[in-house]
Amino acid sequence: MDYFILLTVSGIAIGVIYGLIGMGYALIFKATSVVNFAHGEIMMLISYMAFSIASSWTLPFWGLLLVCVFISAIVGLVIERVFIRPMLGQDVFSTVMVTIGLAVMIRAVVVLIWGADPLLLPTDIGDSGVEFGLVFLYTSQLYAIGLLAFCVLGMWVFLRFSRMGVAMRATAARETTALLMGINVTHVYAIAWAIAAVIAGISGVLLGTIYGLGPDLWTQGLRAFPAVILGGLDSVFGAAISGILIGVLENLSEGYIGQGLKEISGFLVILVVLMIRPYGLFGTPEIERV
Amino acid sequence: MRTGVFEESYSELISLYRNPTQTYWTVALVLAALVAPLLLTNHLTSLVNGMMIAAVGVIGLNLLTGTTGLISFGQAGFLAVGGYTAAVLSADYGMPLWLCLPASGLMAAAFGLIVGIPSLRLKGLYLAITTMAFTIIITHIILSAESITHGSSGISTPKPAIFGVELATDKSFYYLILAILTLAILGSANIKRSRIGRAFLAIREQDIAARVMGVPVARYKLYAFVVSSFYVGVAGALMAYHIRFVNVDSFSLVISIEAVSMIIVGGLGSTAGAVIGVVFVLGLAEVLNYVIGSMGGTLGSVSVLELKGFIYGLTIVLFLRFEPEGLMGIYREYKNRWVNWPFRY
Amino acid sequence: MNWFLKGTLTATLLTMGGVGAMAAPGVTEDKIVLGAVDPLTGPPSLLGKAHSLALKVWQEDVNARGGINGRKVEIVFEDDGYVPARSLQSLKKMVEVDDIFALIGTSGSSQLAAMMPLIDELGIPALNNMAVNSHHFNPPLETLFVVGPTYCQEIAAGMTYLVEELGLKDEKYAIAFQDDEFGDDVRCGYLAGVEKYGLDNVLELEFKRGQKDFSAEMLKARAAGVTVLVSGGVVAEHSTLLKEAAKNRMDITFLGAHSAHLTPVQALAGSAGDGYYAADYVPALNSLEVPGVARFMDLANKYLSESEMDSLNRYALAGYAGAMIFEHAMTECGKDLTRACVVKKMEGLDGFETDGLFGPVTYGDGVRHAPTAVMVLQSNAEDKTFSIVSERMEVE
Repeated sequence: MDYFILLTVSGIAIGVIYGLIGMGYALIFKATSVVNFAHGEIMMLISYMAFSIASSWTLPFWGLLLVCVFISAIVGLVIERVFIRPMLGQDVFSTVMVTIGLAVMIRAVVVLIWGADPLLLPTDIGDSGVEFGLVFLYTSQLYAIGLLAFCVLGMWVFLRFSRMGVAMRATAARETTALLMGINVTHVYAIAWAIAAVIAGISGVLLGTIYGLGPDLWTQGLRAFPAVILGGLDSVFGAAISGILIGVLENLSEGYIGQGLKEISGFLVILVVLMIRPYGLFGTPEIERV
Repeated sequence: MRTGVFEESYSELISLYRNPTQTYWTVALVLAALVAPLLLTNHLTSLVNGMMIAAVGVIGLNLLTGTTGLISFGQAGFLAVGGYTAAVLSADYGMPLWLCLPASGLMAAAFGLIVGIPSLRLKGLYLAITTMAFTIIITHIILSAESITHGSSGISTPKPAIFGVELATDKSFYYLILAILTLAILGSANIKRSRIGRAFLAIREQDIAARVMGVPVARYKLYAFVVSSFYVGVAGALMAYHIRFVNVDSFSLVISIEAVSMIIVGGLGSTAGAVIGVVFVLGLAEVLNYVIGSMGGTLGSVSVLELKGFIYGLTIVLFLRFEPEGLMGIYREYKNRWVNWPFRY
Repeated sequence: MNWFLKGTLTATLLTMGGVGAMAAPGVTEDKIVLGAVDPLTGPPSLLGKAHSLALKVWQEDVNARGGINGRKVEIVFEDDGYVPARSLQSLKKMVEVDDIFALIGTSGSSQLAAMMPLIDELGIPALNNMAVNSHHFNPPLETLFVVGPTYCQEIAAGMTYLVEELGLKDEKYAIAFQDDEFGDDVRCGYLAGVEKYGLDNVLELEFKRGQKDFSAEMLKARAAGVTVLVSGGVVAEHSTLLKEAAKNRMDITFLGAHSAHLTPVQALAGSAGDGYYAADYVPALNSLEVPGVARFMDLANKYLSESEMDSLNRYALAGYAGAMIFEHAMTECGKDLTRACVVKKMEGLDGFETDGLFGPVTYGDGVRHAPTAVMVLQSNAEDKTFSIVSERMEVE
């Protein structure tokens, strides 16, 4: 039983990261119907920027995070303005391919600037940890859980009560109608990209603190795909919950079955779930009219 | 003066060549392809071989993604299935090449069916990510099924030989690949001119409308998966013979993404576009290699090599931004301008 | 098309037949062109960069000493990005375009496997000093020489040290290995050690390449009461395993393959990166008491820039020592340098010394593998160094 609890708790600790990354995907998909294949790369870029900041100035973890949130918002806005907005009105698939091209570029830029060797993101919480009975977690993992909760709550408040949030939901529901109702759709897109980049930035800083930096950090973006698909591509909260589910599932499958099953269990699960629910657990089914 | 191509009867609509000019150009192209290896160096021939093999696979992908509109990131997975089938059959069971090629195609087609069935209900990007999951799972299966696939150590394939003639050099292998590529192009063009191809197009445009018009959508989607993965499987087998070695590293997800970028650069849905896309994307990588190599950037500033990745990504982005119709779109535009000069259209 | 085919075949055969009679490829009156395929992009560039920089140092040095029998050395580098298909393409290009005489960088293990048929067909003398696997020399190729033990032999020697020197006989052993060729080879050495000493093998953990999180794996290890962990990870995996063990308050002895003998592994593991063991067949960069290391570091200081110095690691020492062997064979051939001669001189090496960088190197008729002796190093996280804690152990 102890073993089960340990596996579950450490699974949740990984899962919250998937959840955070997944929320970024889901938000952009919800607002713009595009899967942002560069999400993992944006995350990597910001975690490397965090590395440069943390090596130049000694900042406490929260200070670093705050600076990174600010930077990632700018990164998100710039990417949207330069790469995504010109694609407006074109096939969604073309925009998806643009994000893939962007991903390739960011990967190259990261190695150009920071090199390919693994690095340690220096923060004041380092590998300190907290012990609860038999469970031991890094402080950073604890923060990750808190930050996911904060982001989920923040997103809920934003989408529910803020003017921009309502506009975003309207745009997601029916873009043309929203446009006719006087919503500035390009503005909505820009904000969606900025928020998604902020979430990517938060997950990047957390990943860097927990596992260190490397030019393959972007693969964590792929690892979060099962979470978004399971939750439903357009469900921001679904992604958060499914992230945790997938994290726990991975750990349990490794703990009880093993053989490297962990790395594919998420993908196996989405294959099964999609057969039953093609739009994931929380996604909105698309009703087509001809 | 010819002002345009008009199809006045059904037989004209489905004919392979629309007019004599096309026929002459095709003959010229085939002749050029036959003479090419005599003029090229071994290294260049080897590169061309790689491109033609990729073209076989990308033509297959184009049938699925370009013509039928089912987005697939499963290219690497099907290539792996084809490559491994050929490698296992030829290295461990001593089967000849002429049997291995169709066997690889069929094996990949079988996998295409397996992926296709659960994908029937999925659309757009859900499908894309599911096919991506397929690639990841296939890699895992190959690594685990050690008794068949030799797991992680990979398999060396014997020299390609067909009917007793050894195709050991790149130049001799070239002709075999050329023959298969020709078959692939003809096959794809014929599918598109037939009932099946028009059903594919109908599904791409609007699958519900296609169903209303009497196209059995599920069946044709599966056809698309099977035919496409057959092509990719054959390409995988050729790849195994070309590299003479297979292991999972040769079939990474990046290949899937590259393949999709090739059909987009070439122009979605066009067979010629698929071939041109392959030549452009792989050619770009080689040209960048050459340019950066000659700048002496191989060492010291190792990072110069990363520039290649950057330029590659940038090219994709610029293409989509300025030429969403792909290279075929540019070609059509210039052809029209040329034909209609001095009038605008 | 048939006459065409025949024509090409004949033409090719004729050219190939003609080449043999002429001077060796890549060798002119005043120059020898050598090739090296290295991963210079992507995460494995950690290996490739260090290796290629060492070759560069050697090239500068040998040319400053007047070259090999009056011929200057020029090394052509190709980046394969650690993808076997590209390794083969790179080799084809170097043969065709750069006309190389021999190959002294062979990238990773499966990368070399992909190049082996071509190396054999063209009879290119090649030296593998980067990633050793038994199918590189078993069956042996006439012209492919391999130096260094396999991971299997290396880890087996490391296990010998754990049991015989540290007395860890009645402990609970476990291994974590990557799901690839490299991981399998580490496991092979681990199992050999377990069998030899009748150790208690409680757990074998397989993980996927590039895996970041090991919490489930280490919890499994803790539940099984593991006290000695052998790690078949590449770089970051070693560190994460060490950190997870420390996080779970496990007191373990940690032995890694030579991929753990890298400063980034120490750095990433933080305080947990102190005191672990790594089995290797070259000394550490800081082992200046070894004459070969001292000389290499002097030369490196002379020829490399500050930032290039930072990229050096154990792969540089292996690359430099490999180049020393090859230089010896080429020098022995005198002015009349041919591929056959180099192969013959390599084959004749018997206990060749590389100033302590490798153990004595010996080849022979049909013997293409020199499994040089292994030593164990221990990490000092504080000053980012490794110290040699064992004698060189002959491998089995």
